[in-house]
Parts: sequence; C-alpha cells; structure tokens
Amino acid sequence: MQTKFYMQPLLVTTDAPVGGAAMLPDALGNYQSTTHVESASGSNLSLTLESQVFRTFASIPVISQTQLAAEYKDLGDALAQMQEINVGEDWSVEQPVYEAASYVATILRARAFPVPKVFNHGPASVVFNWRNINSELYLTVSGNGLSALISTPERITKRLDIKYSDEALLKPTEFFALILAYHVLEPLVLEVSSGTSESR
Amino acid sequence: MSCGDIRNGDVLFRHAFQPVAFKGQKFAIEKFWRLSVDQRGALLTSLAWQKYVPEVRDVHNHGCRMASRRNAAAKAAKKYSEKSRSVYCGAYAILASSIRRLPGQHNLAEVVSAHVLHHPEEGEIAHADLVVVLDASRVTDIEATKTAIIARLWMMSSGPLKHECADDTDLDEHPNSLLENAPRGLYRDLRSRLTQAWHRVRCRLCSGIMRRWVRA
Repeated sequence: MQTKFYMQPLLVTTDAPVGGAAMLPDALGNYQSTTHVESASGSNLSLTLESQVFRTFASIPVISQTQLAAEYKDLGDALAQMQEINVGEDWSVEQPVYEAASYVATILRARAFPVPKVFNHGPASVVFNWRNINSELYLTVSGNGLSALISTPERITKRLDIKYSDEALLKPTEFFALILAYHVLEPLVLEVSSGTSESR
Repeated sequence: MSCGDIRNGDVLFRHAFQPVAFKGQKFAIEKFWRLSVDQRGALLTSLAWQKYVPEVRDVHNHGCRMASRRNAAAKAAKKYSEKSRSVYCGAYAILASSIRRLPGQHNLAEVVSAHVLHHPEEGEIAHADLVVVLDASRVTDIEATKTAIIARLWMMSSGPLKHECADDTDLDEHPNSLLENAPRGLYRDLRSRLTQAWHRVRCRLCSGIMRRWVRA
C-alpha cells in the first residue's frame, strides 16, 4: 500500500550565502547559514553573527532571501517597464493596474513566495503565473480586483475572486492561503512503500 | 450531409502568429488565445473548422493566407515593418465538445453557454467563431474570467503543428521553434484513411455549396 506525502518545496534562509549563489548541502545534507542578529540595548545597536545548521531533503530547492529579493527586483523592473510602454499600445499597463500589481508583488515577496512569471499583461490586467507538475496557478491583478485560480488538465480546482471594494481585501488571509496551499501541496511527492521512503 | 453544423466530435484549429501570439521571444498562451469582448459582453475568437481544412497542409495554407493578408493590410495602411511582420508559426487543435463543455465547469459559473459556429469570413470558408456567453451578474472581473477561460482552452488543446510558409523562408530563425507543446500533447489525426478520403470529398462538395451560398 502506498501513501503520498506532500512536502514544502522551498526553503528560504534569513540571510545570503557568500556571493548570493544558491546554497548547496554538504555530504550529510546539512546547510550552513550565517545570520546577522541585531540586538538593541538602550541607544546601542549591536550586530553579532550566529551560525545555523539545518537539514532538509536534497531535492528541495534552497534559495536565500537575497536571491529571492533579486528575483523580485527583476519582477518589479519588468512591471515598471510595462507601465512605461507608450499609452494606447496593447502591452501598456495602466497606472492603477501597475500600482496594484506592484503591491501584490510586494506582498508575495514579504511572504517569501517563489517569484511568479508574468503570464500576460495589458492595459486592464497583469496575470502572474506559477506552474507545477500537474497544474497551473494564475493570479490576475486588474483595476477592479484580484483573482486566483488553480487549473489542472481536468478542471479548475480552486478559484477565488476579490474586488478591491470588498472588505476581504483588507484581510486577504484566505487569498494568500490559496496561493500558499498550491506551493505547499504540489511540487514534491514522496511515495512510501513497505516502510521505506523514496523521493523523486 | 450538413455543411454548416459543427458536431461535438469535430476538430477545430487555432492558428499561431508572430508577433501577436508572442511576448518578445516567448510564446504567450493568453496572447495566442486572445479573447475579445463584443457589444453584448460575449467573448469571441476565431478558429478554423477541420471540415473545410481536412488535411494538415490545408490548415497551414489557411494560416499562411491569413499572415499574408495581415501583412498586405499593414502595408496598405503604411504600418508595416519587419518587426511587425506577421509570421504564421503553426496551429493547435481543440475538439468542439471541449469548448461546449465550458458551461457548467467547476469554478466557471459565469459561463452561460459556449458555441462554435461556422462563419465564413474574408473568403475563408473554414472560418468559425468561438462565442462564450457570460452571465454579467456573475462576472466579478472580466479579466479574471478571460484568464479562467483561456486556462481551460489551453488545457484542452493539443499541438502544435508547426509550419514555415513560403513567404518566410528568408527568416534566419523561424519563430515556430518557440511554440510550446500543449497540455494534451501533440496533435494526432485519429481518422482512418477512408474517413480522411471521405472528408476530402465532403470538403470539395460543401465548399462548392458554401461558396455559392456566400456569393448569393
């Protein structure tokens, strides 16, 4: 009898490895990270270094905050360029849409979601997209609201629409829970059979 | 023998062109399945019905003629440039039944009905309209609805059938290499040889009838 375990596919460290490159595990599968720890007493701010060793599955991609920040900066630059295209062109993003898309990107960054691809953009919307093995997540940001949907070959498994006028937007927990659920549940599947485990 | 009714088992093709289906050097699915909104709020796009393009070479000839017409129109309007040149890259296939199943799909409550209607246009007898009728009261945001429908159409597509038109042999690198494989895999013509032969005959017969009807 087989049981499936779904694992979080991404680990984000609190600080950058030297040179900003992706971290690699040692022979035992351990990752070592050096973290800057700030502590304040009175008017003095001291900075100390604290080493951390943590372990994860070798197949899980590990990226640093710095790398994630760089990728989100690229996304921000791309959004700015879309807005700067001459108004009236098919690909020009209107100001309210640009502002909404930038805001959403900031929240995604703050919650350490993997950087999405820009699936489409036009005057009325920017569509972010993440792709997994069997499904796609589309996040449509328009001048009126946000919409997230997860589509598999068979059907749209989840969909959530929020208008900016909705109170739900002030507390979009459900919205980001949907995005988080997608990233947690999809990419890595461990199959356990007869008491042994194997990752793929 | 009906010449105008599109049956559920019939195949329809969507042609892909550069630059309209691309974003820079990347094939863009939402640009490819571009849906426009008509005055009634329905979503529209164009397809080619296999009944009148019964062989793959007919599908491609149709695409090449479309690109040629677009370039001629741009030249006539003095808007043509090499950068904006329309290059036919290939086509993707979808079943009429897949389109008609859009209403009632989970999480797509705003779709009231979805039709594929034979509608010869610009001398192309294979031209068909894809029309998605929406319930305006259930549309939260038309952009989100378009994304949801395009996501479904793409998931139900197969292809691409890549092609290079005779007009485009001067290109150093043909953009058809950038087309993405559709989720349903490459298109396979499942018709028997006998059926294919019958469809070629039927196409000639119906084309004659339809052309006379269109002229009238």
